[in-house]
Amino acid sequence: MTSLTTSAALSVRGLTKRFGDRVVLEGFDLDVNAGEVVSILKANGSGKSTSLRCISGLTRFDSGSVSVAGRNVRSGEHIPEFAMVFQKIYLVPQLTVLENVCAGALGRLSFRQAWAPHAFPADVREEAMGCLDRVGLAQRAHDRAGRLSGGQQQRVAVARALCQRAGVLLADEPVSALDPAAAEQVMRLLRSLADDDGMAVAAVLHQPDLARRHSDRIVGLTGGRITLDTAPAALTDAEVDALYAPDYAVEGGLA
Amino acid sequence: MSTTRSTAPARRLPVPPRPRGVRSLVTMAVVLAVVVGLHVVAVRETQF
Repeated sequence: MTSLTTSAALSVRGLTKRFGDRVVLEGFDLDVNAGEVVSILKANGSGKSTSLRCISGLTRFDSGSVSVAGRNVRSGEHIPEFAMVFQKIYLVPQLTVLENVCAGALGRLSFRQAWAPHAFPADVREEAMGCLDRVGLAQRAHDRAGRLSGGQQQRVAVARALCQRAGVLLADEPVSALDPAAAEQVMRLLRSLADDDGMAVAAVLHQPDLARRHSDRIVGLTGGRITLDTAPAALTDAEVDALYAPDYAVEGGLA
Repeated sequence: MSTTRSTAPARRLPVPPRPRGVRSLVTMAVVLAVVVGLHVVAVRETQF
């Protein structure tokens, strides 16, 4: 079931985050609509990951506002509408693939239903199977997660996000540790989640070519705020070079 | 105007039975043998 709304699925306004004296985000604004994939580009240490962590509630922000489908989210608040996938995949390698996906439903289960993996209710297990089928791994449901390849594990992490029933998927360098073929497969999956399931996807990437192929918009961070917001076809090599140019002012110059 | 994704669950699929490997079958047989053996010993040693 879908509902019509005039607001973006994810709306961030004036987000500010400091670590001590260091300002990481300052006036960070971002809108992501349902069914849209937005890629965030910038070199390491520029605050991209911090922005996603602030949005998802993993890190508290100092000021600004985050709203999902028109509802304000407090700093540090965890809500099931946000799911996150990471470069380090964070599956439980000893558990089966199916049990890892079921973990996405933990937030809506009682202790009695969630105290052990074998206690997950049948309907959750069947939903998790549907999520695994969605990412093309239904046949690996009973394999231990640790035995899967990196690309397959990342797809399991996406399936776990689906089982969480999230509307906004925040992907923090989801393909940085993957080979090109696996990275392409994961990005196609994120693209299809936006196209077919209407998810809003915000992905931090270091691969401009992947961002060009799979995004609706590409944004770039400079000085803790969005300074570039463009269509993939309009992204020039000069803009990419500028985003990834060493920031000597911040780093203190070459040693 | 855009559409927001509802939080509707994904479609459900039946969970296939977990395949039993040789190792798990051997483990099950050993556990069963120990349990039965203990019962046999207990019954023999008990003076009714």
